[in-house]
Amino acid sequence: MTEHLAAGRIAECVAGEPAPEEQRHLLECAECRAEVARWRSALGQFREAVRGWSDGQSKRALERARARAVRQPARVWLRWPALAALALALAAAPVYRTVRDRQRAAQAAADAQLLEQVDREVSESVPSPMEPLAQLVSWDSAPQDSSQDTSQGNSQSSSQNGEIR
Amino acid sequence: MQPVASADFPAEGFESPARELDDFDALVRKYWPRVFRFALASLRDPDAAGSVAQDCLMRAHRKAGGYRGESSVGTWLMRIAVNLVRDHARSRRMQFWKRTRESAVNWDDAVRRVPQAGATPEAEAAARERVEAVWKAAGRLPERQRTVFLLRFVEDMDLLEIAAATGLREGTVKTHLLRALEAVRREAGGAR
Repeated sequence: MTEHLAAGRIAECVAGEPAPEEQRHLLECAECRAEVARWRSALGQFREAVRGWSDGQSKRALERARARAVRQPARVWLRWPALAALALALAAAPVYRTVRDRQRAAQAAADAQLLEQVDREVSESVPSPMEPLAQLVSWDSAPQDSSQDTSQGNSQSSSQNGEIR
Repeated sequence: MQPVASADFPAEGFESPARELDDFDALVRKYWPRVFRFALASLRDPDAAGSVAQDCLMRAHRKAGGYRGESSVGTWLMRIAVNLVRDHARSRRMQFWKRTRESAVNWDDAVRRVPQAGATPEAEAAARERVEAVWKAAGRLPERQRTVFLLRFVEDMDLLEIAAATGLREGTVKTHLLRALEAVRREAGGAR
């Protein structure tokens, strides 16, 4: 053995990916073995230092993140006004529907009342201003020779129009 | 100091990964430390790292349906974190460097606490110097090399996991890792 491992091969050994040839070299060469061990140790200490640093900062960072998360809903509304408007519209839809249904029901009731009134007025034989005149004339004064059936029919008719007697 | 975690995240306490992603509080409890640590080591800014970790876990929770089980939940989270760190570093480069300087004091404290069981004061000082040199050299690495370097040597992930987390091929990951190591050794004064 005359040459030490080149930088690239040392890196492979430090990374934990040595080729069989490098593994054999490390068994024979104390200097290369020490170099690999030194760097593995340095990287292990580096890892511990980073982890220690992170452990010291992690809890505070989490508390800050939680505080941010509490404030975040308001930001979302500001950042997405269109979404906010959509959400408000969706939230208001049931109320709108309820109000609209009530208005429709009230309108239907008013319409029904009006139709009822129209029906009543149409069913009247004489307009209201002419009622006093109508009372002077008996619509039942049918000729005496009318047949019984006809009389019965008139009687039935007069009973139907009893209000104008 | 926390013990070194296994290369992958354990999945105990959950019936399935999908269910694990549904429980946001449990997700935070279990994965916050690791996601935050990677973001902190990458960005070197506790505030930015906290934002990235929060964003990462919230996205994972919201998009739980997008998790297809091709990797572990932990590796999937690291993939989200890698993307967020990259976006953050690119969009806020100036703030990143400003805050890096501000957080240097905290880092110095961490380096002073590097464990050296039974070491002499001289050996401790040498170890601190090495850690400091690695830290500085890692900070000067190109983005991809730094990400791969941190995932391998801080998060203990193997090449396949790093490939899954970065979206790179395994061979590419290895190339980046070896180049990063050579650069760190050269910058830190260790290369022969």
